Amino acid sequence: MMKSAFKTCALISGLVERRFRRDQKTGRQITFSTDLVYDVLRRHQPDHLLLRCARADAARGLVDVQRLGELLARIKGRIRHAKLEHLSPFSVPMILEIGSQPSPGRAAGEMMLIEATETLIAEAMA
Amino acid sequence: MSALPAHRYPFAASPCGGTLVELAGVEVLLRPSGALWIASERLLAVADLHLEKGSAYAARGQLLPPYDTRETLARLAAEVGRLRPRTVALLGDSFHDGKGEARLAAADAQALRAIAAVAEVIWIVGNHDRDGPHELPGEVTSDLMAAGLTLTHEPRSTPRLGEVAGHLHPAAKIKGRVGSVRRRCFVTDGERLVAPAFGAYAGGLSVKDAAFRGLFVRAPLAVALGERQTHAIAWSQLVGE
Repeated sequence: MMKSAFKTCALISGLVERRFRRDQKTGRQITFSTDLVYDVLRRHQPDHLLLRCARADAARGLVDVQRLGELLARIKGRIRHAKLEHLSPFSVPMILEIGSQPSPGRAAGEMMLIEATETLIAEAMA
Repeated sequence: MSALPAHRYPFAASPCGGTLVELAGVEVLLRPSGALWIASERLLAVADLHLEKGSAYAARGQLLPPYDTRETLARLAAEVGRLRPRTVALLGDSFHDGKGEARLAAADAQALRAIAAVAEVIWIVGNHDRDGPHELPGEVTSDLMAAGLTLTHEPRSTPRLGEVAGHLHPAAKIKGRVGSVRRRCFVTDGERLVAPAFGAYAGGLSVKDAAFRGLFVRAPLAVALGERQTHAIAWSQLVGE
């Protein structure tokens, strides 16, 4: 999530340019990966302005924590949990959001790689 | 390559998180850092450092944070500290361009000298650094023979037994239920190997790219770099970009 927030900040600041399909050339290193810049900055200048912006965006970008906090405070003690048979109309936008952030976190990525190795070993033993 | 039958590659997880593979009959350790270790020769090899890539882009107006050299050398020094190599082989494109050495910060040049003080540094030249460094210590060459393997920069375009090369910056991508993961990787068919780029700002090229076609005698094994460990991945599980 931080990396995707950083990418947005890097684009806005002009650090990198947005890449379009038609601009792509073959071969490597045509445009700069903001992930690489993010990793280097985080280790060598953690207070960099773009990192601070990315942190602020990540904190508010996907979930407005402030408003969510206010909502929870307002309804505190009056929350009723109900298991519905069908999707409720208000849940549809949320269900549609699932899968729209396709980048798995570091831990999930590692798990996928570990599973891939396990598959390879299982095939070799079969 | 998919037409060829799946080959069972002997590989083993090492306690260091690396993967041990057999390359032309020689046991080599593929480290999670992206470095290759030949224990019998106490030789540490890293490819495509692309030092001073950040400053090369900055000179052309794309202002990138300049810490890439420091980051790359810190990771290299950490590997040297852990493994105590006799030889450190840099497999070419160690500098992003011919003037990179001149732009090197004093502290970074010192970090390279500190490595050269404890190990013999061999600068294998690449297409980005054809002349090798002028001031820094170490030997400059186009190929290095070690343990019966040939260490070089650019892989020969046809199968070649015992070759260890860089240049292509291999990266592996797999797809799962929650999305896809793309990591730098080693790629080998047991006869030759292409090592991942070690440089902090060096990008990656999918092993499914046409540039890898024809290099291997059979569908190769990818060994992807994870957070703390390497991951052996079958060719059939890899996807293109």
